Amino acid sequence: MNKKLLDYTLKIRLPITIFVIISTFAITYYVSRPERDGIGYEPQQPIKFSHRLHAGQMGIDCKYCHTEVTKSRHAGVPSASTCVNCHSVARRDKEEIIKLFYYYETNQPIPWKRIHKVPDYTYFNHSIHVNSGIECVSCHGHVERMEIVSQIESFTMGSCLNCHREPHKKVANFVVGSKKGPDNCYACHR
Amino acid sequence: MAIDYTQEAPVVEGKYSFKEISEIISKPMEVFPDKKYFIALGISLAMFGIGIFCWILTFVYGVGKWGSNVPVGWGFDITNFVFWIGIGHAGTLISAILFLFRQRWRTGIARFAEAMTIFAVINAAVFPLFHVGRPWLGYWLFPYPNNYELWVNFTSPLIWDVFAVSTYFIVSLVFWYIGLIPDFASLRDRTKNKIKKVIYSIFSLGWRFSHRHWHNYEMIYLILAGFATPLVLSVHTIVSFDFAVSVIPGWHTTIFPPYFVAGAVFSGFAMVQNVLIFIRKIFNMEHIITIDTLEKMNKIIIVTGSMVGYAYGMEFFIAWYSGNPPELFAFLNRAFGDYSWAYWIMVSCNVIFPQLFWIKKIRRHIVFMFIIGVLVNVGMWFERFVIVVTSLSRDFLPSSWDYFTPTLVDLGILLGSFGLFFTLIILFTKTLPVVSIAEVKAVLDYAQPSHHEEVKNG
Amino acid sequence: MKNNDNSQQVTRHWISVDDFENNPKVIEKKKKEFVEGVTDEFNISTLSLLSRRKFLALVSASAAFAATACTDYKDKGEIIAYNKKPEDVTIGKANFYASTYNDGSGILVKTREGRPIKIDGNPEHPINQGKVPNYVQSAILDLYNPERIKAPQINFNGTLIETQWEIADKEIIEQLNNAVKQNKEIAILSHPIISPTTNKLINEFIAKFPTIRLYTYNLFDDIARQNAWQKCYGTDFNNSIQWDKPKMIIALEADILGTENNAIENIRLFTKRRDIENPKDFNKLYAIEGNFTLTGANADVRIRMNPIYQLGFVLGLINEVLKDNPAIDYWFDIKEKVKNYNLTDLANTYNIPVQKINNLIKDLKNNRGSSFFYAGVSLPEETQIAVNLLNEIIGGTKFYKTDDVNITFTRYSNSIELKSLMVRMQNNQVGAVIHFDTNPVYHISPEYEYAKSIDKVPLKISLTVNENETSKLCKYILPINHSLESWNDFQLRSSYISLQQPVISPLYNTRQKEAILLNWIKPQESEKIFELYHKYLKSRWENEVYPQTAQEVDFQKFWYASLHDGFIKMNSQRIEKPAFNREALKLINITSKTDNFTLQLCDNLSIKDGRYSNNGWLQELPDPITNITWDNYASISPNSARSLGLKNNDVIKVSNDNSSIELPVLIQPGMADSLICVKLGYGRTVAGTIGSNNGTNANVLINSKGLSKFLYNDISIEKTGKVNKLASTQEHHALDDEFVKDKHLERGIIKEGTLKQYIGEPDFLRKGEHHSYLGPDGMPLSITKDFEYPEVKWAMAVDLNKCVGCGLCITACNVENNVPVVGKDQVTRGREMQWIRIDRYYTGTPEDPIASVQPILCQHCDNAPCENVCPVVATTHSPDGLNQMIYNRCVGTRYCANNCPYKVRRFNFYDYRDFFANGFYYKDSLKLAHNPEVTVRSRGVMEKCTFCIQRIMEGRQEAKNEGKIFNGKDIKTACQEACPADAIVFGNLNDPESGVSKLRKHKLGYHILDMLNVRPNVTYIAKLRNTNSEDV
Repeated sequence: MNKKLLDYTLKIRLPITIFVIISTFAITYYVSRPERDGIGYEPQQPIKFSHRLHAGQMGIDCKYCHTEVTKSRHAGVPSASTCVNCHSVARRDKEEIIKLFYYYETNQPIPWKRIHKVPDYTYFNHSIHVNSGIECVSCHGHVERMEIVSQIESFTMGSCLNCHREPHKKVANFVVGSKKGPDNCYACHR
Repeated sequence: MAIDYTQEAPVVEGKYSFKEISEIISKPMEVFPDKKYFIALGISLAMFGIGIFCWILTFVYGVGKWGSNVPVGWGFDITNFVFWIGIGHAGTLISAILFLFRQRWRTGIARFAEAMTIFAVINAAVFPLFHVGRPWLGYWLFPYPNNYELWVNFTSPLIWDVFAVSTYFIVSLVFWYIGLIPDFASLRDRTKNKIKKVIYSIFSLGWRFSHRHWHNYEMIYLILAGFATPLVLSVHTIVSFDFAVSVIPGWHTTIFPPYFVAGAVFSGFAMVQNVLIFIRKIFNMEHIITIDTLEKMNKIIIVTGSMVGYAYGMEFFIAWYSGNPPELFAFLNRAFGDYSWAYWIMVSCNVIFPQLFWIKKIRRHIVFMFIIGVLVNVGMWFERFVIVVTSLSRDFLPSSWDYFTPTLVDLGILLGSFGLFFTLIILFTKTLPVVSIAEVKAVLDYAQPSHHEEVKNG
Repeated sequence: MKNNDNSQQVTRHWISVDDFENNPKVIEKKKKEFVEGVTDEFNISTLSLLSRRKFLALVSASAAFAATACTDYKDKGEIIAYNKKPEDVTIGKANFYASTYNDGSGILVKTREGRPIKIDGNPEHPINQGKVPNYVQSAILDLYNPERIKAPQINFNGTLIETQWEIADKEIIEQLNNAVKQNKEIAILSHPIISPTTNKLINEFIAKFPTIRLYTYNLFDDIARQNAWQKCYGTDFNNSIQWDKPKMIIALEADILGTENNAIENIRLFTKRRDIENPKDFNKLYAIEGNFTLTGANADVRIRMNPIYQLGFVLGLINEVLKDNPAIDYWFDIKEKVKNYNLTDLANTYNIPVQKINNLIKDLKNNRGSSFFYAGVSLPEETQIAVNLLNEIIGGTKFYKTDDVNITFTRYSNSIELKSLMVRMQNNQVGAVIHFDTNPVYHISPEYEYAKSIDKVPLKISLTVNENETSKLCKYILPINHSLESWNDFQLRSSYISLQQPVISPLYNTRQKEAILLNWIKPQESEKIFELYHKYLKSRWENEVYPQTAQEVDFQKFWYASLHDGFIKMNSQRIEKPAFNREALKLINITSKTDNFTLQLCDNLSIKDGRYSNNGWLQELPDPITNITWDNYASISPNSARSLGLKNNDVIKVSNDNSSIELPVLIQPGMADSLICVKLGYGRTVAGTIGSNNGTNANVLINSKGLSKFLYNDISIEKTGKVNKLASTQEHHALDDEFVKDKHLERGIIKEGTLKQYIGEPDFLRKGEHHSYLGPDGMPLSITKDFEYPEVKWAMAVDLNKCVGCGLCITACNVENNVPVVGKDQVTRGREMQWIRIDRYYTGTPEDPIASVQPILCQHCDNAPCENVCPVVATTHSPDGLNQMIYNRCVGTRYCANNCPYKVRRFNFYDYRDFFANGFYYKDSLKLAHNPEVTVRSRGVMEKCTFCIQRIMEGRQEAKNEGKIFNGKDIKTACQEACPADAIVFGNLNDPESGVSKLRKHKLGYHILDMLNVRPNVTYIAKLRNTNSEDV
């Protein structure tokens, strides 16, 4: 009897247990991939700025506020003064605008939550991409439809390379015959 | 004593019944270890502990704790790696190649040699994985799908190492374990201790000594032997590529693969011989691991030793014959430069002393063969040191030449690797049969009727 | 033991058939081969139900566990945007500002988001022309140095208490007034003032407090030369020299290319005449020196001679040149005086190769009127006079620049003045002493007993950036602004004034030193003080400078234009050099030969007079000749070392009169015998974590009894038996050891020739080579397909005719690429991190070798051996021919470095940024010093020269944004930008017009270790030495 149980444990139960554990882990690991890449990350911002309203309904161009995007590596999160340009008159009474003016007058920077992040050893360059006609949408999704902005593409090295290697598949308005992105290391790392 | 070579000497001296054999071999596992055992274990554990401490220092602060610098990027780390891989070679050679060649005398030592192989490879594997600057990323050396869309660099000898060593480890482990199954079974049947019984039963995989079991066993053992045989040659060949593939004078040599394999077998046998001398005395197995067996090993030591010696000479000849000034300088520098002391230790230990084995008395004399065995191991360690360090310390640009001085941490890690090795061996002697019960039974004189016996019995 | 039995049986039945048959037991067994239990049916139902559930539970549990573990996002921090963004700042883009460093060199400061990260020379600046010395480039580190004094301190006998500016000012002002009332002297100790506005201010300050006396000194002064000039010409020596004019330059104990004043300009002018395109135009440099200097290394002919023999030598030369001089009757009296100085005798007495001297005389006669003699600062007055005379005779005087003279606002206070100051201090006649950014306790010779003297002074004030030996003894320690935080103007030459503007507002509660004085003259409320000196400067310019320059624009425009340029041109008047005063000759009387040792105190290229001691980049900068870092040492010739039984690193005791120092020996090939050279500026005791206790303070050997301030006779040396290992970046091999000798020639690392050879047959270099292994394309045959470089292919060329080995490129690279400081201990272990190094090789005998220097950086090989051995593809090849090193992929096997034939790869054995006290990078302020475009490397990764990839990528971005095709025309690497000789050329090899592709094809071009077929992309242009063949 004892021997039977032992044999049974060894022949059936042990292998199954091991198999189950491994397979579950593997599955969950790959299922949870997007989350671990931060897709769907949607933090609350200090000021409830609505891209849907500004970029969507009012149709303000991205570059109007993100001025550096064509000149520099960084897209440039607008300074409080940029908002104030319009809001010095518009919607002064709204709660969020009051918050904005609080920051503006007390001379504090607005602590916007970062949503899209590449590691600091990766020197991604906005201007090169934007100037060669790649829409913001391709990486940031339809921000103009978002009340609260969230990450919709993964920002791993893999996703960069996919696009660099076969842009026509990824980029919305890819001009056929235009050059692929470089896929050598120094293109992003120094 | 004169040996009659017309008929093969018996592998096991004297007439033992199967029962006696089982008893002799499984005795160490059945009696509780004595004081001496614990002292030995304590010492080796202490050495191991020192090693661990030094490794921790290295992890916390960085490889700067070692003596390596810019021209000499590799010091003791890779030296030890190559050394231990070398030690690991005897096992598989004895158990696989000699098995295929039907060398019956191997049975007494095969099990032990294989165990040593495994321990040595464990020891060696530590170094390439942890000698890196960022050990926590050591797993990047293995190819696995990742979101960088990067594979390992298959042109790098270090990657070949990873494959070679891991394959070698797995195959010899399986080979060893397969060999152990029948012994596990007989241990299971002998023991009365409940826990032991469970453990042995688990490992014996329900072995019942049935014909079918034996038949499958013999078959798989043969197949695995076939598997293992090429590995004996491949592993150290590939390890030697680490150097042969580079451009550094003193490394960039085509002779390395055969020379490394010979050296590996050389040091491996020396190590096995050394340890067996103790084992057979302590567990009074003089009749199972006989002088004859040891003598045969010593003969192999002469052969491989001479091959290594030939390689040393040939290196110099080529260095001169190639007419490549940096090459020639590199070798002259080995013999007469800053590290000549290491070089001459190496030559004397590897080439000169083993030649004493031509003398039969010494070949069969326990003390002498032990001393020579030790010297061989020392020599082989220095061979690796000479290759790794001297070549790097005097490479192409004189401006970047520098001298390598090991730190205490280096020495501690070296000590620790020996500690780990002996700890594992000592534990092994008390947990598993150091000689294969089943196989020895099979080579007992009366185990199967042979031509000679027919004649004798008339 | 049943089981055991049957195991026995089972094995038994193999033995023999009959035995087996008549054994019933075996038959029994044979019936059922398997022991019971094995073949029995399992009754699953009894076992399984429970266990199945268990499994299910297990599944869900582990799934849930894994799921929960993975679904929460990690916070990515915040983006802190500007509140009100200044419009001239583009985030991620650098701004450049022209300014001036405190030593007067015109600089161009690169700032990112308002913080300076790199200092280069101002390209338009008349003297610098885009190049600045090491200590100016490294000033970034000084600015962010976390050990700066952050607020005014009052010293209550030893304990420093931070205080308010207001309090300090109030107390000081009233004490100053008291001093004036009691008619006690107020001494200001300053370095020579080179700023007209500061000068004006000081005068006003003196006007306000009449008892003030200004004393100026420098550790490295040229008093001997000045006095000699006074005696010869009756004026100050203020002519700059046109080094590009003379055909033949004879530097007597003068390191004109290294430590001499404004070496930057000297190098530029000198190397103008080293252009391989017109070899006929090459100048010829003779260096006659005792120590082995950079100038000696670059000299075409180097004659080693103990400095004390120089006078005899010069007089001998005068004798020679006068022998058949048309102007003989004009110089007759001198001919009389020098007629018994015979060079051949001198040569024989001091075993100087006669051949060389004869050649020198021959050359002098051939180049009459186009040769120029220059005497170094260390030579005594009378030698200087003799040299002036010699220049008069051979017509070397025409190379003094007369239309653009050096401006001096203050004259050095001579020893008498200083002595009397000490005496007055001792007698309580001095009411206050103000150290105007000076450190006399360390600098001034011990015979003045300065520290003891100021003890008597009631009010001691120190205006300083960092604490130092003097500030420790002062009551008030007032922190002043760094150059990059200050306003000022400077005038070194009459032809221009350069402006200094702050590029960052003061990091700490500091004030500009001029503003402090202004505030004492007329106290202001503190918020005004920041602008105080700015206004003062501006008003002076409005009233004094602006009128001089006939401008039609209004002052504001003029002011902003000047700030933008960093300097303004002035129309300077021509000053003729007065006639030579023959009376000066009377002063010459030759010193006799001594058997004892001579001591020479010399300048250094890194930390200068010690004021830059606390800068790790400078401390770790190897000496170009000895390659030693972090230390000073006693250089001594191999012969002398042998006679004294000294080895490298042996500590000796050098005594001069009653003061002595102990320091390690360095056996320096090519040094004159019985001569010791010691670098000044080391051995600071109060200089912060990095600066303190490196080397030995040799200032204590300075006294007034010497032949000159830097030259002393009858020095006694004794062995102490101690050993102190010097941290060298290059092993010192025994030169006479046949085994390792001349490997650099044998392996074609250094290829040189003489000018004659080159003019004779331009491709003499290639002649020896056999090209059997070359393919049709002229490249070595290869079984693999070559890499394609479709667009741009980067390459570099280093012209060894121009490169003098000054090491400015090293510093520039350090700053640009965030290269860490590793500390003396690590350098001793051979782990320095500099990406570019300057190798120095000796050829010939240890007594009289020829030195060759060669900058080595990553050669970016086409068949790079490092690339194929990296297991994790951390180093790869780029389509524009760069050898890429990716830090974040590197695991640190060090295999690439081992396999690099040039050993240019550097490994982070530790995290050098926080591991060492002397590499304290993780202090917040020092994070600001980093170049944000370059990754800061962590522990355990390999790094190396990247050809300044960040600059290449920026250029590429610019081109792309402007829609141009990127051909890499105006990309400059940091080292190239810094090179005062423009020896480094970088560019696109696919563009046939680029300088680098021309040089690559040049007949003198060669690659190091060609035979390895690694195909390096750095071409070296072989050095041509303008020597008579018999000198070589």
